[in-house]
Amino acid sequence: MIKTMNLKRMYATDEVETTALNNVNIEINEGEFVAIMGPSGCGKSTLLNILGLLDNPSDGEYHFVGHEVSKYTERQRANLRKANIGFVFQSFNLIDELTVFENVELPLFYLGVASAEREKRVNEVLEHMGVMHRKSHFPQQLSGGQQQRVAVSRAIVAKPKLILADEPTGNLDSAHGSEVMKLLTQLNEAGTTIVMVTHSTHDSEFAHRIIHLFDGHVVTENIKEQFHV
Amino acid sequence: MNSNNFTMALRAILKHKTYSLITIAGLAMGMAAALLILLYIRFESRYDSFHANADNLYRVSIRHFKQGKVEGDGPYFTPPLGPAMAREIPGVKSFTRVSSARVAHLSYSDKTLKAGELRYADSTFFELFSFELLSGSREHALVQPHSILLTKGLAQRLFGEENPVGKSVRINAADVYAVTGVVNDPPPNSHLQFDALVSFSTLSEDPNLFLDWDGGNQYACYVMLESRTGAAEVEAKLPELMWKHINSRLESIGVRYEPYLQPLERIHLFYSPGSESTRTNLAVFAVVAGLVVLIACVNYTNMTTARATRRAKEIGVRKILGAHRSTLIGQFLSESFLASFLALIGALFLAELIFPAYQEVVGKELSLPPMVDLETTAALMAMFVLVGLAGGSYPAFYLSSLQSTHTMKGMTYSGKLMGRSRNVLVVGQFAVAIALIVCTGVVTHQLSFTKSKNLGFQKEGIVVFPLVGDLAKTRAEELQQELSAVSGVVSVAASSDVPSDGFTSNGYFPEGHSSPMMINVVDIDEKFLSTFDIPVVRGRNFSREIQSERGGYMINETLARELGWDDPIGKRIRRNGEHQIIGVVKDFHYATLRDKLEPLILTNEPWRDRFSFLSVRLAPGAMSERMTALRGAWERVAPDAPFDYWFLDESYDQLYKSEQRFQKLFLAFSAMTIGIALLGLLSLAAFATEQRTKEIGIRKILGASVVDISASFSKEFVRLVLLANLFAWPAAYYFMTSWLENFAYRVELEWWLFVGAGGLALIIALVTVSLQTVKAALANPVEALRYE
Repeated sequence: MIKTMNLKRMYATDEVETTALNNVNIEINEGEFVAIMGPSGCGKSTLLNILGLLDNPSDGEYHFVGHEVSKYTERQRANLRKANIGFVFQSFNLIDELTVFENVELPLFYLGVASAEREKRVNEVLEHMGVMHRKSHFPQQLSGGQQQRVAVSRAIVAKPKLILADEPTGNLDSAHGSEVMKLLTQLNEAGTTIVMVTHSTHDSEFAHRIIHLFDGHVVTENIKEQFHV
Repeated sequence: MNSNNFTMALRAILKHKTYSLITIAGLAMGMAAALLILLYIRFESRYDSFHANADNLYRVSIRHFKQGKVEGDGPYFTPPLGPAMAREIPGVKSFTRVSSARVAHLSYSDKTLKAGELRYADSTFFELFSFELLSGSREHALVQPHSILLTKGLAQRLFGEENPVGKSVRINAADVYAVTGVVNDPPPNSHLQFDALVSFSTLSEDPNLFLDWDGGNQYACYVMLESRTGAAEVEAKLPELMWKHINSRLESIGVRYEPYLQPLERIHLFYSPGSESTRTNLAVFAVVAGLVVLIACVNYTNMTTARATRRAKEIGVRKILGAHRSTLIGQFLSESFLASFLALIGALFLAELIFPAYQEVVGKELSLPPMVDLETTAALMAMFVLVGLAGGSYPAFYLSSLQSTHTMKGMTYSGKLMGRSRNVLVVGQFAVAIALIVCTGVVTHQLSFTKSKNLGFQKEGIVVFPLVGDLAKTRAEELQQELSAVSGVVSVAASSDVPSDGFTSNGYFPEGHSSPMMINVVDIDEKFLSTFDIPVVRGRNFSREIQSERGGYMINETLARELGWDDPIGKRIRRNGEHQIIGVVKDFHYATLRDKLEPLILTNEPWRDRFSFLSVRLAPGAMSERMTALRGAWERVAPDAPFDYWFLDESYDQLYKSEQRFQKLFLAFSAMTIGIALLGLLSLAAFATEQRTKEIGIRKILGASVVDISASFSKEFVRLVLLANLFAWPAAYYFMTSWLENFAYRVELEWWLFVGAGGLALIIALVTVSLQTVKAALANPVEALRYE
């Protein structure tokens, strides 16, 4: 599903050029649950941005569901992204002006799904995630755990093949954090590929495989046994 | 719903209630101001367009040449011009002559009223003009001699509920006229105003009037051309006509008259007295209207860009979720257009609210046009679109183009750049505001200068009585004696005119001059100089005792100087005989201070031996009792003559009405601009402090005081306002220098006006900013840090 070859990403500021990713080669197959770990500034988020088609690499190749996308335009990336990738963020990134229902509905709206169908699917997801009773509330009226459930709902409502999670439990207490990890595991079991950036060894244990990044390089890959509880 | 940009936009506006209120209020104020200004411009530019034949109507104006030089240009000429044009120039379909306006007193039964503008008009008046005749016949109302048409207003005042048609009125306690109809009051945007119209044929019955080519220049001629005839065609034939009738006879004395046609609809803006300043005002107002809307837009853009960092995150999320740029552009534009729409509604209410006060300030009877009016709707739509685009463009077109990975972190590449352009906008706003304050200051300064300037005579305490009708004029001397006897009256003078807006002029031959000189003249009695407190600097005043000096002249210092006469006493000036100079008066301003003080001759011999005004100097105190006593004295001598008067100092104030209006408008505009600029500053300061809450917290923990923090914030805004002065001052200097050129006697552009305006803007800005920063600085730092 995902294959990178000699992926590089450089950032240039006024004074210095920094290399965030250097010759990264990774391969992730459909149905995998992969954790990406590493210290702050090692390039985790940069990698996630490229994998998530939010950014283009400076050099190298990136194959995503059979397309070589490293030279894609913003519009091409957006079209590929909205049909295939869901995002979960540490800070939830819900839109404050929209209700829970409307936040979750957004990806379907941008995909051009008809209104009746949107309503049906959003209600299904909210029901499934246990936040149906909150559907008319605004994000700030919810607890952190609830907000992340809404964010996960939004990530999966378009039934993406891949979910990218950027420290999904970072802003949650342990109880809510575990809940979210359980949700992700369930999604993975149902066939969704998951790539998660995390600092937490506890969270990483839910993954099948851990990719360690250090200074923009992949240093180790731990293959783990298939299932965790 | 997401699909509904409108709902989204409404929520975004409601969420930030204070910001929204400030920005929308600012926009509404700007739009309301622009709307009101547009109404004024519309009013001024639509004069006389209500006449059905407006396209083919012209007023004939006559340039008066003397020795090849233009001596004058005006519509008033002798009566035969109109008939000659209609008779001799093909294409001239019809004409009507309208006399200059006269003050007349109309009586019906025991009631007497003053009509300020009575005019004589030909029976063809209603063939050319579309003034509404409420009763009477358009063809016949002005045919018979001694026919009079009253305006509705005058008829109601004079007749009350009674139908005036068929009744008789007396004019100036003398001739009797038959009321043949009632005409609606002329619309305020008609250059031709009147209270009553008297048939032109009446004039022919007066044996004392010359109505031939050599008669008085008191009649304006309007012509209606055939629709296919151009003005140029008619104008080409005029020199020949004029040569035939008059110019050939005047050639020997170097005088020539050249008529030309003034399109009716252009008279107000191009050919009427003061039209130049009207045009200047219109241009100024148009610019101000544009500026006010611009400033309001700038504010709105400022606020949206300031909030853009926040919106950036939202944009990022939407883009990650698959929103295309066009979708985002649509969303942001919906928001700004909604704000613009709300502002527009607010502006309409606001305009309606200020309208009466505004009307008073501009001194015009404007009308709020119906909203279905095409021009108004177009102007409103234009404002709506402009404001919508101005406010929404930055987030719509710029932010939506940024990469989501950056916007998510609140990075908007050009954060610095936008900060800088925000500063430019703040500087721009304050520059306009400061420039307007300076202009208000200069106009006020000049006005108080003109009001307080020593005119060379004492205008306070003088009541002027016009001598209307023969009765009053023949009994002037009796009236003068009777009024002098009233207690509190210091003296009473008779004269042909009183100082205010200038005296008439005639051609004179001063000793040693072979060609005539145009010199202003006023006829006075021996009490005039003492009543007005004008000193005689050489020779002596007129005197009743010395009959031999009755034909003598007095002159002012300027005339003596211009003639180069060191000792003018005994010199002679020729006009209808020789006149010896018996005295020189100290210069006094008998015209407005817009004009330079001109040479003047004072004679003791009024035309037809009749003076036109009595000026009464009163001792200070008990005004109303004195006026009652004066009325009693007046009615004892001339019970039929109307008791009409004014205070000289008040009539002087009237002279500067247009300047006063100008001042009030500047005051209103600068107040408004400052108001709008402050709203902008307030929201920017609020935003800046909010954005730096954490910084404030850290600074406080590190030991900064409230004053330190407020100062560090205010410093930035102070810098901007100071910078604004650099732009405001030269602009105001340039504009005011050219405005002051209207005045022969004017104030200097004082440096303190500029510094004061800058200081005022600075103080107001500081107070506004401090309101925000002090609040933020007073907050508990722990609270501030928790924000993160």
